[in-house]
Amino acid sequence: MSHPPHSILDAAPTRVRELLDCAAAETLLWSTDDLRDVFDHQWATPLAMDLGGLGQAMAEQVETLAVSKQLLLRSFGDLLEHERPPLALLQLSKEFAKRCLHSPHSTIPHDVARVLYFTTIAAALSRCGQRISSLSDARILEGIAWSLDCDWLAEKARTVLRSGQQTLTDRGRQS
Amino acid sequence: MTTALQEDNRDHSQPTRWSLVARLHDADETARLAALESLLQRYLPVLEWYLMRHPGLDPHRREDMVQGFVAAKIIEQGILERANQARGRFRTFLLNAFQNYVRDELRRAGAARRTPPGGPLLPFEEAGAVATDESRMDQKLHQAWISQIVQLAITGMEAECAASHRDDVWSIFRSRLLAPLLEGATPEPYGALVKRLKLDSPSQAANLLITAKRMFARHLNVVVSDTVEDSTQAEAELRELKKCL
Repeated sequence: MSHPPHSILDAAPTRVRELLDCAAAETLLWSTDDLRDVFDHQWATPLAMDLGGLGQAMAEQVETLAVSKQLLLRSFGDLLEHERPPLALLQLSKEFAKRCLHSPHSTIPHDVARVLYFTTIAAALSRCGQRISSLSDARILEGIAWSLDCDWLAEKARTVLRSGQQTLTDRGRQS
Repeated sequence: MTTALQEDNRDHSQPTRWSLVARLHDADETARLAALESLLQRYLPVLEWYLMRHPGLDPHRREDMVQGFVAAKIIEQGILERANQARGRFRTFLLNAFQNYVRDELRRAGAARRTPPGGPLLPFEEAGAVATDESRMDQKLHQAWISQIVQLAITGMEAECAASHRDDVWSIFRSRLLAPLLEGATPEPYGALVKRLKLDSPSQAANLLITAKRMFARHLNVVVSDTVEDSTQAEAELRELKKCL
């Protein structure tokens, strides 16, 4: 049972705390304007560019779904604002956002990925009447409320989130 | 332009706890043992550290106790598999199981030594002191857990820097943050860093440090996410962890 010199386990808790705070300061590294720009950019990003990265088979699926029924869903915004978006495409978008949340290599700030994650769930709920997440209603509502609190968030995304919030609240009242 | 997912596809990070636990049931014994070893390497240092500092333990019994916990709880009772199905966080589950094991072992050892049933009663003040000691050790155990989480994030980041030939990122993170915070070293001045890393300017060094902090934050998020039910809980868990410090 030997530990290397300067084992972090022996470091003073206040020092470890400082290191964690420095990591938490990642959020401070992105200004509100940065986050607004990154989100707007992501909203306008072609679906094929990001979702296609999930693999060759996925790329073909995205292409098929995006042009089916003359939907012409070119971007994440097109998909999330559409009145009847293909559920499978929403699922792929949710997976993409989730992977961005998980991966240390993601170039999208976590806050933007988290908002994208809950916006796809909200769109599936309100536009397709379907759940695409195993999270509980309470957790989804919590995530939507958190997203709506982001002051950099564009109104078009807020509309989607609010409609998902409304759908879940109505369901809660009915049951 | 490199998209987020193209970046993601370069991810060669460690297997998750879930995938390792799943491999504990592999038909191939070598794969089973490798998965167990990987899991133990992640979390065992915390348990060992705790035992080293536990005031009620005979130094000779510490090693036996770690091995006993691994054999009785992890291998025989499969608590890591149960942790996947259990409600609540993996940290709470594993640490509680371990503390209960240590208490049971101490009680058993104490009972063997006592002659009168139940043993002699401690004076009230002394009993209070024992409880305070235990609560202090509980807190220390959770603090050690956080430190280990941070260590795993640091290791992940170092590996990524090595794999992607970003020695500059690792070097600046180590000399400006890690060594000063954890080893009490003096932060290397930006001027010296510019020379050593052959950078253009101190502002380039400052930007490099921002890149390093972001990379560390992402690795930390990944490690914490691996100890909760899903990634959306990672932020709340990190807040909880900080409270212990």
